Amino acid sequence: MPEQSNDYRVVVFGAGGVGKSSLVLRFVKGTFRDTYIPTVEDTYRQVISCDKSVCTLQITDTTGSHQFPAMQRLSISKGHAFILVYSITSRQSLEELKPIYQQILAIKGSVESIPIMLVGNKSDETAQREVETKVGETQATSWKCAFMETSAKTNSNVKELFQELLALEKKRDMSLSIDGKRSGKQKRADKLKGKCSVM
Amino acid sequence: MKKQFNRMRQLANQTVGRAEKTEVLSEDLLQVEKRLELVKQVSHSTHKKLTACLQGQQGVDVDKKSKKLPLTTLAQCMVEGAAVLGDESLLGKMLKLSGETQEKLAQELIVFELTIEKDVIEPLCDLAEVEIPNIQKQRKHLAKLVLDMDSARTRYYQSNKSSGLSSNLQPTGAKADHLREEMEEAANRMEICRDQLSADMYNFMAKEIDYASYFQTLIEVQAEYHRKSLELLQSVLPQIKAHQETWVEKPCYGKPLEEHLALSGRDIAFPIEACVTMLLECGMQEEGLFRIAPSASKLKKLKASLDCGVLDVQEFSTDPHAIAGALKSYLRELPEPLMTFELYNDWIQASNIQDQEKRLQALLGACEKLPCANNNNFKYLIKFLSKLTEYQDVNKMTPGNIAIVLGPNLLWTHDEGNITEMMTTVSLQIVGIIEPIIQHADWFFPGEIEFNVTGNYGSPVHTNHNANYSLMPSPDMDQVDRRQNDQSRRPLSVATDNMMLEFYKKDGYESNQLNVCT
Repeated sequence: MPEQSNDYRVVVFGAGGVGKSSLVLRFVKGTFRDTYIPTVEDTYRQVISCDKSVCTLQITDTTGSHQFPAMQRLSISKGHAFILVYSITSRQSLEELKPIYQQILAIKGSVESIPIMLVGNKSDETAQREVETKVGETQATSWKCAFMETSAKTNSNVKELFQELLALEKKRDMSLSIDGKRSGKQKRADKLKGKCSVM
Repeated sequence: MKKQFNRMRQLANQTVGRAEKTEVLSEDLLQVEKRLELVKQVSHSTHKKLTACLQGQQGVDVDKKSKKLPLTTLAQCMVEGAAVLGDESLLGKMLKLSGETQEKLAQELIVFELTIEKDVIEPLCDLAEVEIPNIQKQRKHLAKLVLDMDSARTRYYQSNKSSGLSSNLQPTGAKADHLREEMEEAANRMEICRDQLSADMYNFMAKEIDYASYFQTLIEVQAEYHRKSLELLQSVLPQIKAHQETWVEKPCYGKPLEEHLALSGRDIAFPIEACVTMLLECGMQEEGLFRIAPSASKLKKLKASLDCGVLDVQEFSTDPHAIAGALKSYLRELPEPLMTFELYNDWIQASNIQDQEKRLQALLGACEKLPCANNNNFKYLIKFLSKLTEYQDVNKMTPGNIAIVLGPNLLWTHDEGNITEMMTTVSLQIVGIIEPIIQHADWFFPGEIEFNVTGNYGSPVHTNHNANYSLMPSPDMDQVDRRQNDQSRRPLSVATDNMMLEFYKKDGYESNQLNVCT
């Protein structure tokens, strides 16, 4: 494959069952399955535009059910950007992200120039909400990262999540669209951006 | 007065060399005399240092002495500590035993020191402070007598000379006789004293063997003391070890399975049995059991309490994820995976077999090779997991799902070298091993098992939990169908397997470039 060195790697972390795979699948395939299958580790690729050319966006969907420190370290050291997912229906799942964030900080040294998104998934399940939006925002502020609430099920903010993440990367000029066809969609996405806040 | 004057004059004359001093002692004895002083000095300093070695106060009675001994106070402190902590606890037992031992050691020490004092220190002191000084006193006395004798002799000869010079007449009888008598008497006295002193000095020389024996005694007594102390310690040591070994409440996390089972006299590891029994009670219908992470603090608390062998069933029955997490941690923290390092290759090879029937046979073969303890616990766990899948409509944990989240805690390789590269592929292989075993649990392990082996945990109600077990003598079509369904329901994971392999392969030699790229 050409342009492998040009790959842009995004790693998705989060506790078991928060919807990491669902988010990724919704973004990559546009589908949502109400199945319940834990992930060992999956990687997906998508071609995106980058610096007036194209590059491959590589999304690594990690396991939330058992932490192998060595494995996690490898993923972090290879990743360019990170999505930290919790479920708004589980306070515990937000807690679980703290050691992962610390690990990223330890391996990367500083998070200043590294795009990180804190994501509260399952925003459709308002009845079971345990983590208020404010709590997520506060956490993101202290971690100096961006924050967004999403729902893979209702396809709310999923594309925006990835757009926002790419926009945070200052070293490259990246965009999800590779041709003019989707420009309309992107404008709509820009409007929606009001929902997410960059800290 | 006159005697003193005479002595002074004689001494003065001898010192300036005008008169000769009579040496009354033999050469041998003169040597002895020099030695006396040396022996005295040496004995004195040895006595002093040896006394300093004694811990007990000198000169007080035995009772008082033993009370003041540091060992005795240590013993008391330990025995008191044991009373505070209670004889039932291991620490209490140990303190009591050690305290009693210290007390006995103290008694030995007292006996030792008393013997040393009596048989070595006192005679040594006697030698340095009494015997030798006595001889030396006598030697001084003799010196005086010699002086007397010499002066009497001088005066006698002088009067003889002067009377002989002035007139050739016989010296005036009375004066001369008196002087001669004086001279003879002095010589006599000197002689008695000299003989006495010589006898004492020879005695001293002859007794050297006795003096030397003090040191033999010292070593013997010391040896006896140490021997007795050692005997004492050795007699206590088996008891101490027995206490340690019979204490069942030992940490089980991170300890080898065999060791834990042997120590606790169990067939099924305590954390496995406790967690499984509790989960049967309260966790079977929990969505994502073993998948969803428990609260870290709850997990830590539960693990610590399992390590102590105590369990608050009430508290944790509301938190099945913590229980599942504790079970996972136990399996993960075993020094060797439950499915063993030795059989790692057997398992992996079995999972690579394409033909389903043959694969199952190969897996069964590996299963049967497991050591007895591992086999028992593995069987117990698999039976439980198979039971868990009976509720998969509610808890969503299919055999495949359980294999994904639990498999890597059951088997791993100790080959750390390429662990990061291989982890994911290996994890997938392990899923391929565990999933069919859970699916065909009753074929792998025929018969029913009682989960609540020791009957210690949870409420007693669930004893017939396994009553509705359906026996499956061999892998039947139903199971195979279900497996295929599982696969068809998750085409993505399967589809991405190859992609992911590629990803890792590629990263192997792309990492340098990637670093530049960031």
